[in-house]
Amino acid sequence: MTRPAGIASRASFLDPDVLARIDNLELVARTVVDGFLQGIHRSPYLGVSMDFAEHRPYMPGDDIRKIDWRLYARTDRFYIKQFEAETNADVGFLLDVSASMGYGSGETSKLDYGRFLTASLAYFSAGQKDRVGLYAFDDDVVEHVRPSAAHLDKVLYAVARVKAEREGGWDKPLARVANTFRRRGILVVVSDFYADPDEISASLGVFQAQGHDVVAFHVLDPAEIDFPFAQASNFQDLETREVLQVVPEKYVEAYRGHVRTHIEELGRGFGRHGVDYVLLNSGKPLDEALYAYLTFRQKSTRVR
Amino acid sequence: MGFLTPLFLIALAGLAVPVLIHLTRQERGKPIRFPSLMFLERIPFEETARRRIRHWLLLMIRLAALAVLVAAFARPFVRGGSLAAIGGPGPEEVVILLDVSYSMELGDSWDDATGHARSVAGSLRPQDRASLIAFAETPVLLHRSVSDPARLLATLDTLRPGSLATRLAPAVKLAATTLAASALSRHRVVLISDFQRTGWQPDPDATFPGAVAVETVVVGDADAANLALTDLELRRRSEGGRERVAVEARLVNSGADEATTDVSLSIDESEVATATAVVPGGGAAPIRFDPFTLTDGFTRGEVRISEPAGAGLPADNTLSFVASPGGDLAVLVVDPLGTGESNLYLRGALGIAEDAGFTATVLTGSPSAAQLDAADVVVLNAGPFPGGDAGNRLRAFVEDGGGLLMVLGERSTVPAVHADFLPATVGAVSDAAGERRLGFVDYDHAVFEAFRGPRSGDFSQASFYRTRALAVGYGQVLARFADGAAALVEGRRGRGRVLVWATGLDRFWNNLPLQPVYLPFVHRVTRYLGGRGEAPPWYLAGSTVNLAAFAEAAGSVEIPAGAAAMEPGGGAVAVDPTTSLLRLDKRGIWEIRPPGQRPDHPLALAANVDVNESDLAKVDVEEFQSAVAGGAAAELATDDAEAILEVPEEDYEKRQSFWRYLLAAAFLLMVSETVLANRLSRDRIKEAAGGVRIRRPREAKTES
Repeated sequence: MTRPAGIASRASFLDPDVLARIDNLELVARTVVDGFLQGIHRSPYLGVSMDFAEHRPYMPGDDIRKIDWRLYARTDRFYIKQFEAETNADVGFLLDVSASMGYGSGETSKLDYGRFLTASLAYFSAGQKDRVGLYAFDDDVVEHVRPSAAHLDKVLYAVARVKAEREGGWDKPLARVANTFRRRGILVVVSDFYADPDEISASLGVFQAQGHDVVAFHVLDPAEIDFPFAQASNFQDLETREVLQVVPEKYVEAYRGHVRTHIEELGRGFGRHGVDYVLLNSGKPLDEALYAYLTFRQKSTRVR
Repeated sequence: MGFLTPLFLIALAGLAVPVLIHLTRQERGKPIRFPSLMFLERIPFEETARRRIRHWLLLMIRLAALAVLVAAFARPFVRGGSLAAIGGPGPEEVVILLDVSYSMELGDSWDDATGHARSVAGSLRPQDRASLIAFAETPVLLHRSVSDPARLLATLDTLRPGSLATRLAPAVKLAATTLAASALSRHRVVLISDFQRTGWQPDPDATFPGAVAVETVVVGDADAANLALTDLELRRRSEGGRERVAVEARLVNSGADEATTDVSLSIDESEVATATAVVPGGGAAPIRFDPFTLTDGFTRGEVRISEPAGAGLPADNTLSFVASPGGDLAVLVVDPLGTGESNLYLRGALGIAEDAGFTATVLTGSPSAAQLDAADVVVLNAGPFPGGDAGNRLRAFVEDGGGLLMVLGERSTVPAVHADFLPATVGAVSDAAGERRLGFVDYDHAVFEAFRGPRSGDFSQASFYRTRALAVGYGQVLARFADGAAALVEGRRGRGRVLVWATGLDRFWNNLPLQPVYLPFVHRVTRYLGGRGEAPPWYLAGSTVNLAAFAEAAGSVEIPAGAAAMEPGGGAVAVDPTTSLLRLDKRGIWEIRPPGQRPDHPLALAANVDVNESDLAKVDVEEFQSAVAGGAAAELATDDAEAILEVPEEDYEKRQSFWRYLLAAAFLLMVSETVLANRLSRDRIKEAAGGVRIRRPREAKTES
C-alpha cells in the first residue's frame, strides 16, 4: 500500500485535520482503514470473515477448496464449510448533512469528520463483502445509494459531494429509510443529534426492533462541547439563522452541563432501544470510531 | 443677546441625531455562527425597550453638550446690561505717533522710542486696534486700525530716522482724523518724540477730542552737545577766464563747552581742503576754504565735520552742494535815446554782479550781425523792434538760442511783419489811476523761483504808473498787475526766448528800480534769457523740486529720456514726466539719470537737512498736551461714547469671548457623559448577563 505523502505515523492516518488535506475520499478511507488495521496487527479478514458459521452439503459448482476434508474423513460425505465472512449484510449509512453539521471550529467541520467516518466504515464494510448503501439527509433524503456490493464507489462519490446547507429533520428521512431499507442489515447513523433524545432514540429503536443493527455516531465539535467563547456576542443558528445575544462569561458551565445532560439522555435513550451510541469529538482521531465499529460489528455478527 | 455667526445654529438640528440613534440603533457586530442555539437563550431585548428612552440623564447631557458646542461656534455676545461689561474695558483704538526726524538719531533716542512703541503694540488686547503714524515734516499713516500687533512690530523693525525735521502739528491732525474714523469706544494717542521746540507750531486745528487720552513719551536729551553745519555759501569769481568758487560754511556748537573739530571740503568725492575749527560753547564759527576752479557742470561738493561717533547728530555734520560754471553774459542794450538816464539803473544792475558778471554794451542803433554774434542777450530798452534786415537778424539771433528782452516804453513799436514774433501784441500806453502793483507772480518760473520764500523779495511794494497794454498771443504770462493786465510775457522762438516787459526798467514809469528786488530780478531775467540760469546749489531735505524748472534754471539742460532720480545711498525714484516733481526726502546728492548709466557729471541736486532740527531745545510737554487736548468733542465721555458710537458686534463678541466658556462647558459635559455612559454600560452588561438563560433541550423542542 502506498502511503500518502506526509503521513508518517499511525496517528497521522487518523487525524481528521490531516485527512482533510486529502482530496480523494477513497484514498482517505483506505488510508484510515488499512493504517488502522495494520496498527492493531489484525488482518481485515481475520476478525470476522474466518469465523466458522455452519456446514452444508456440497453442491456441484461449489469451490472444492472449501470442502471440509476432515468431516469427509469422518462421514465420507462432502460438506462445504461456511464462514461468517461470506454471509454478506446490507450496511446503510445515514449521514446527517443538515446545516449544523457544517460547523467546525478548526480545520475540520463536523460534516468533514462524518464524511471521513462514513467513507472509512464503508470501505471497511466493503472489504467484509458487505453491501454498502447511503442515505444523506437533512430534513429529507438528499442522496440515496442503494446497498450493493459494487456500490462503494457511488457511496464515496455521494459522500464527497454532499453539502451542509439546509435545516435538518428526522421524520421524513427515517420514513424514507424505513421504506427502502427492508432487508435486515446494519444502519450506521452519523449525526450531531440536535433533537429531542427520547424521540430520536425511539425512532432509531424502531429499526432495531425490526431486526436491523443500529449504531449511532454522535459527532460534536470541540467548541460545542467546551463552549470556549468569552465575550458577549451575537450567536447565529446555522440552520434557523436566528441570532441571539449571549453573554457566555458566567454561564459556560451551565451550557456544558446541559450538553452533558443531552449526551447522557441520548446514551440512555439509545441504550433502551438497543441502539449502540458512540460520541465522537471531531477534533480527535478516528481510532475511537473505528474501534467502536469493529466491536459493534463483531457483536452483531455473533448475534446473527 | 446676539450671535456673530448665527448660521452655525443650523447645526442645532443635529440634536435629533442622538435621539434617532438611540431609537433606531440595531445590534451591531458580526454574529458568531453556531450549529444550534438549542442550549442558549436570547437576552430579552424587546423592541419596545429599544424604542423607549431609559437613560434620560445621559440623553440630556449629550443633547446639552451638542447644544453648547453649537452655541460656542455661533459666537454669542450680549450687547447691553451688565454682561456687556464682561471682558474689561471696551476695545481701544490706539494711535502710535513715532517721530522719525533726523534728530531722533541722537544718542539712544531711537532705541528708546521704538522700544516704547513696541511695548505699546505688545500690550494691545485682542479686541484693541492700533494705527501707526511715522512723522517728520509730514506724517505717514503706515497702519490704520489693525488688530495684529505683529504687523506693527514688523513695520517698526523697518523704520529708521530720516533726513527731515519734526513737525508735530500735521501729525496731530492726522492722528485726530484717524481716530475720528474709528468706531471703537476708547481712543488713545501715544506720541513718541523728542519734542523739539522748533517742531511745534501751535495750530488750532491740531487738537484731539476730549475723549482721547494723550500719552506723550519724551526721548532724547535737550542738553546734549551737538556740532552742526548750519550754512553754506558759494562765492564765485572770474579769474583769468576761469570761474573760481570759494566755499564758506558756518559751524554752530550747541554744547556748553568749546569744541574743536576738523572740517573738510570734498569736490567730486575727492577731499580738496581741510581746516580746523574751534567753536566756543553756545557759539558759532565761520569756516572758509580756498577757492577751487569750477570747470564741469554739476560739480558736487561736500563740507563735512568730524564729530565723534555717538556724539551729537550725524545728519547735520554734512552739507552738500552742486555747482555749475557760469561765465560772463554779453548783454547788448539797445537804447534809441542813448542817454544815461534811460538805462542808468539797468546798466548799474548789470555792472555790479559779484559772482558771475555781465558785460553790458549800450547801442543806440540796430545791432550788427557781428554784435549779435558776440551777444548772449539783447535788451530793447524802450525802443522799437527793428525793421528790415536788422529785425530779421534779431529774429535769427533768438531762434539760434539768444535771449531778447523787450522793455516797453513810449517809443516801443513792432513792425507788422514781426508782430507775430513777439509773444504778446504791444498796445497803447496806459496810465494807472492810482497805484498799480503786481498782483500775480509765477514763482514756479525760473525767473521768480528765488523770490518764492518769505522775505525773499516782495514785488508788491513796487508801484507802476504807466504801462503798455499787452494782448497775450502765444506766450505765457509770468506776472500780472493787480488789475489782471499782463506785466511780463514769455515766448519761445526756436532755441531762444523772448520776454516782453510791459513797463520800463527805469524810474520814469515805475519805482521798481528803487525796490530791493530790482537787482536780482534784472539778474535772473538776464541769466534766464542768456541760458545761464543758476540752479540752487542745494535744497532743504523735504523740498519738492520741479525738475523741469531746475533743468531750465541750470542752463536749459535736457533731462535724459527714461531718467530716474537716484537717491543718495542707492535706490531709484521714477520721475513723472508730466509733473517732473521730485521730493527730496533724503539728504545727500540726487542724480537724475537713466538707471544703469553712469555719465560724467549727470544732472544732480543736493539736499541738506533743515538745521532748525539741530536745535534740541524741547517744548514744554504739559503746554503741548493742553494745546492738543480739549477739542470741541470733549464732552464725548467714555460712557456716552459707547452709546453714541455704533460699536461693532465683533468688538462685543471679542471682548466677552463667551465661546471660550461654552467650549469649556461642552468639554465638561462630554467628560460627564463618558463617565456616566461607562457606568451605565457596565450596569447594563451585568443586567444583560443576568438575563441569559439556558434553555433546556426539551423546552427548545417544545417551542419549535
